[in-house]
Amino acid sequence: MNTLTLPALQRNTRTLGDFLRDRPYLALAAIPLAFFTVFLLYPLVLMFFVSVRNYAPAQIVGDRLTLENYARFLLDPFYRGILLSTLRLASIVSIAALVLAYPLAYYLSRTASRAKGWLIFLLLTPLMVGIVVRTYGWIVLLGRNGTVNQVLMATGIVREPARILFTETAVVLGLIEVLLPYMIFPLISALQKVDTTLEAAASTLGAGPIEVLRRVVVPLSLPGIVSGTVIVFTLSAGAIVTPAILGGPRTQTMGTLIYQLMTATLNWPFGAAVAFILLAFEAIPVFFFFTVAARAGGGRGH
Amino acid sequence: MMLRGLHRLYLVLMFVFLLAPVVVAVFTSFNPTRLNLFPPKGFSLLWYREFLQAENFTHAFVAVSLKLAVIVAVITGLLGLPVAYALSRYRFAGRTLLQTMFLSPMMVPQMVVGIALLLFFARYTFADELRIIIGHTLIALPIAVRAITASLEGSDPQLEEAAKSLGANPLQTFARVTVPLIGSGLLAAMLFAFTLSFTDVNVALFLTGPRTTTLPVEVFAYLRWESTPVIAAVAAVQVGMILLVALVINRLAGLEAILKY
Repeated sequence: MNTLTLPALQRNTRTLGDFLRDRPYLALAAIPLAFFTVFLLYPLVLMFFVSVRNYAPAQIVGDRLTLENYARFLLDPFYRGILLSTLRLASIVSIAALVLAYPLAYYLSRTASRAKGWLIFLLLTPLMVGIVVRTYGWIVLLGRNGTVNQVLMATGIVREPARILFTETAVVLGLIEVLLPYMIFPLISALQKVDTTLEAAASTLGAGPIEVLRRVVVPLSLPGIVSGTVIVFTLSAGAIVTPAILGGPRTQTMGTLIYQLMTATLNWPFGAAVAFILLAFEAIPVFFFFTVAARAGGGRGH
Repeated sequence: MMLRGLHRLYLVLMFVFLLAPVVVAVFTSFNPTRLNLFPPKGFSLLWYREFLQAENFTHAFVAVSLKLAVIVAVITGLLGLPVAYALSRYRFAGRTLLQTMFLSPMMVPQMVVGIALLLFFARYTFADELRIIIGHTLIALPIAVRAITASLEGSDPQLEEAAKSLGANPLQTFARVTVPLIGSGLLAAMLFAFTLSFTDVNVALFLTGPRTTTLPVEVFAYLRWESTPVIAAVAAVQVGMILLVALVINRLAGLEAILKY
């Protein structure tokens, strides 16, 4: 009798310690997992529920469930205008960054130069130095008495200092520079995976350099193009610091609008809704690219 | 021949474009006047004195940003190491899910992390410093986990087996074999977390309180209304510090290894 019940009894008295001893990975990941759940996943859910509440001046987040924050944004031409100009800005920045970065990434992925390590170091340090320092550098470069204006006047291209700072051009230039490394590194890692013998084979078979690039290198590096473009698009659509400083007080982007709503106007329900609308529109290039990539991938299979 | 020349020119211009703002920001600090001029008209350390006398900047630099960045680096190391160990040494159901989860904050824009935490802290009260520490740990952890996993995968698990078969318990093995093996990778990941925390604005913008304004947020607030070379002096000190950290990381693990996407 006793020998029969003992195993069952043992199973019941297994402690949490025993359970984790069989699954050490759970014990290792438990605290970080809890950290993520409490401080990231739960706040994101909370943010969604704030976005579907009404705004109540005294308590900020009202008690009524509503979609009025989303409707207010999408129905108002003023806000739609900010959304459209932000998406346009992000498109210009990501396309320009791709065009500028691709040859550099190609060079860095193919070169056997001993300077390569240092060149990569030079690309990474600006990234680590942070946006605020670099944005200040652009103020010095683009201001009324800035370096660019000095050069333009010395060479006689303009007579009066040109107004560059506090324009969209300044924002575009600043964002491209700040975000370029995020484009270059995915491109390098994709291009490193492209087999160089394929390029050699294509040119042996009579393809010119442009043909090789168009039909071999670019299609095979598509994963890098996709992730670089998506990252740069997302980061520029949500940027706050660069548009706020280089665009001047009159420039409004989704980033500066959301920042203002959350920290100055204190309309949290509306601010959270605007942030979700931005997230939804940031997903557009992801879907676009995944359909393009899927089609290109399917085509290659034949 | 001309094509080669063009190619060279393009490479040089790209690096000038990428590095110009940082270089310009640093050298503008030597201006003797209030104008943000590059190249500077003359040489003076006036703006460094101005920086050291500006209590808002020195407080933000030392008592907030530097202190919090060190704490974030330590916490990121403490949380990142066990996760990376689980991911690289064990095969289990849900491993891919765990991996995706820990890399997911890179998918969530930093601004959204900041907003979500702002709303969370409005409901649950946390000390001002703790708010920023939590926010920065969230954005640093994925990169740290990735970097530590990479250095664990580069080390030989057989050494751990050997220690165990010689009678070491799991904790001893971990502390005396694994950690020394990947020490430089771990330190590099922690230093990277330090720089992420020190330079972040997008999260801190939503979480700073009156006495916990981080340096980048303080500089951002200043730049919205005016700009003088005092910012250049702040920038120069920050660039010097980050450059030093970057060189150490490069020595320990290679910068590229940390930032690989």
